[in-house]
Amino acid sequence: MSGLVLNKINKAFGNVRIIRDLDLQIADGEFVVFVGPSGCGKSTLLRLIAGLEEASGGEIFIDNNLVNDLAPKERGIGMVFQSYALYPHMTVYENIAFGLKLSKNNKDDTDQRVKRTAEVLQLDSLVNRKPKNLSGGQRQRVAIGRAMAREPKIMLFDEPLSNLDAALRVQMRAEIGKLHERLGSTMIYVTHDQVEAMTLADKIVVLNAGRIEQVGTPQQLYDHPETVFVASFIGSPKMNLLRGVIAKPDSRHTEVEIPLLGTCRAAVNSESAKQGEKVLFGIRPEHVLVRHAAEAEPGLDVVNQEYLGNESFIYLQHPTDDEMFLIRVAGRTDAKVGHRLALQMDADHCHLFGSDDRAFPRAEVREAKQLNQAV
Amino acid sequence: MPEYSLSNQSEDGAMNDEDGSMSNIAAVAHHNRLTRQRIRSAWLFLAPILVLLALVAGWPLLRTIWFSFTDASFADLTVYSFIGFENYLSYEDGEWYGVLADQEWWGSVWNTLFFTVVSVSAELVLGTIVALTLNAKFPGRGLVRAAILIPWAIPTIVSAKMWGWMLHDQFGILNHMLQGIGLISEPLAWTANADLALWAVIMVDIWKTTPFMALLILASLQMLPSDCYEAAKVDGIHPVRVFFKVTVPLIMPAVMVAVTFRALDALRVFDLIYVLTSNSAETMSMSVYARQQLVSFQDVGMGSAASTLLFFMIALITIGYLCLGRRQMAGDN
Repeated sequence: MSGLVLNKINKAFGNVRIIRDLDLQIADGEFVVFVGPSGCGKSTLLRLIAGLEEASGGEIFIDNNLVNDLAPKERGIGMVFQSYALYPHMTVYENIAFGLKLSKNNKDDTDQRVKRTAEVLQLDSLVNRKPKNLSGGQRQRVAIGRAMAREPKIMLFDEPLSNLDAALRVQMRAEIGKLHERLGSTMIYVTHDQVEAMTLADKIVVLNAGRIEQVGTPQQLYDHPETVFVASFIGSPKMNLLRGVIAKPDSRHTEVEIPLLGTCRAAVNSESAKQGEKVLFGIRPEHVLVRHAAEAEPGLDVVNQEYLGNESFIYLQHPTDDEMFLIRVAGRTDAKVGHRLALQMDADHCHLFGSDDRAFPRAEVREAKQLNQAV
Repeated sequence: MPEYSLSNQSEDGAMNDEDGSMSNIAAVAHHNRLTRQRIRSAWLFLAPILVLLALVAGWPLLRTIWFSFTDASFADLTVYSFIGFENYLSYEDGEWYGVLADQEWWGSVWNTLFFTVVSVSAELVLGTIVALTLNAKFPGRGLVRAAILIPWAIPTIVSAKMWGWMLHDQFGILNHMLQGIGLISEPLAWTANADLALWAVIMVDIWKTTPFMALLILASLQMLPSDCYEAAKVDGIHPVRVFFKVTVPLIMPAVMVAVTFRALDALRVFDLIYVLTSNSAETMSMSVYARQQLVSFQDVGMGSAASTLLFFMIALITIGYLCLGRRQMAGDN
């Protein structure tokens, strides 16, 4: 078992607290992605796990062993750095072998391991090249190979794809996913790119300002964001949020009064709320139906329209909100700037957030429906 | 796994395309005219400095080489006659004459080489240690970095005079201190004693130029990729091994530049030795020998011959270094 447990982890640089009372459990073989905006502490957290930084407080367990005071090597981790961190004067072979030689492996064993690693990562033909003669993707593979060769219990990835161009990123993303399937080792992956998080993770940890906002599977985070932060961070384009007040609290069919748009229904449980309480009403761009508004019908004005080929984005402006309200439609749209559109929001896809920024639980109805879809 | 081989092909393919397009560009005809124009303007920009160099470096150098083939005297430089290689080597009445036959010249060559090898080696080791120390994070690092440069910032004449006093056999503080802690019973004549004088000169030179070495090495240390060290840390590689296997190879180019600079400097050392020990044959360097011939003996011909020999020796070492460096770089690629 190569599980990882973080218990009340704190990290401060001087007076700045980067990580605050963070608890997390990662099971053996899981692919966990730390995601969050820059400065949220995700890289610091990874470096704490690696042993490159010392925790200011709290406990880190790997395989039920307290590792706070252990050197990185004794923790049994391997790490892939954002900038690859290859030794520029060594060949691919030497780069992979460098970390192996010291551990009491004899020469043949080292040689075998390097060759096997190079084979797995399709680097066999490149072993005698130096890093500067490799492409970005190849360098990244060498960096992964170096971390892999020691057969660590846990592999850590610190934004490994952010130096690659978009096409290569997609390809390497798939390769890392395959590698995880093949090795089955625990992997922790840091990124600010929510697409990487959604596609790779068994479990996503959303971090914000040194705290965990939410932990869950990609689908849980997408369907049931617990906070406004998670709701707007996960999903691209991001979720639309409108200010409103609760017109009628209910365990299943909450009614929300939104200025200019009238009463909207949301399939959430708002029993704990009172009538008139201020809320944020959230709905994703793909869950809104639109049509041209009739003469006196409530609606929003189109301020921009983007055609992307397979889909179109329509930007609407709510007069009392700063951010534009985005609608995603398949194919082309005939909505033009200046048109007024009436919105129809599916109650089952609506989210509701209280004044404490936390979500009201979405009603059961929705769960059942989702299961059917999955089948 | 097919997806890997596919990716390799596409990446390699992209590289080949790049090469192809480059040769296409070179083939475009009017590109040549543009290149010619650029070369012309490059020469135009270079011309002033080339003229200046010819005046302040080329002319004196050629004049010195010319004088080395004459019997000119310092008293009157207008009267001289061409005597061929006599200043270098001549055979007369069963005896050899000229710079190359002079025991003192060969003594000065030996002194210079000894001084260069010992002081530059010591400066390299000490400079590396100082640079590594200054590269570490500690409070007051900025202040120490500035302070360490003081010996190098002081003009050589001043520091040589200063050390001359500190090394003085009767009033020098060094003898006083060494006697105080009981290391020596009698005061030592640091700069006059034939066994000690060259070592004293070397010691002062090390004191003076270690900061220069440290500065260059520190600069290269700060260019090192810090993530490589973190990777080594994660892999649990011993710091000593990291130093010799990662740090040393990576700072080597900068260290070689520093060593070359220092070696060329040390080969033409003059002021330090002249101020500390005057014309003493025990410490005489090639430059001091040339000055002695030129000024003390008023023999411009001999002095120029010695200077010319020194020039060619330094030139040879420089050319050798450049060739070596070029071959190394070629091997690297």
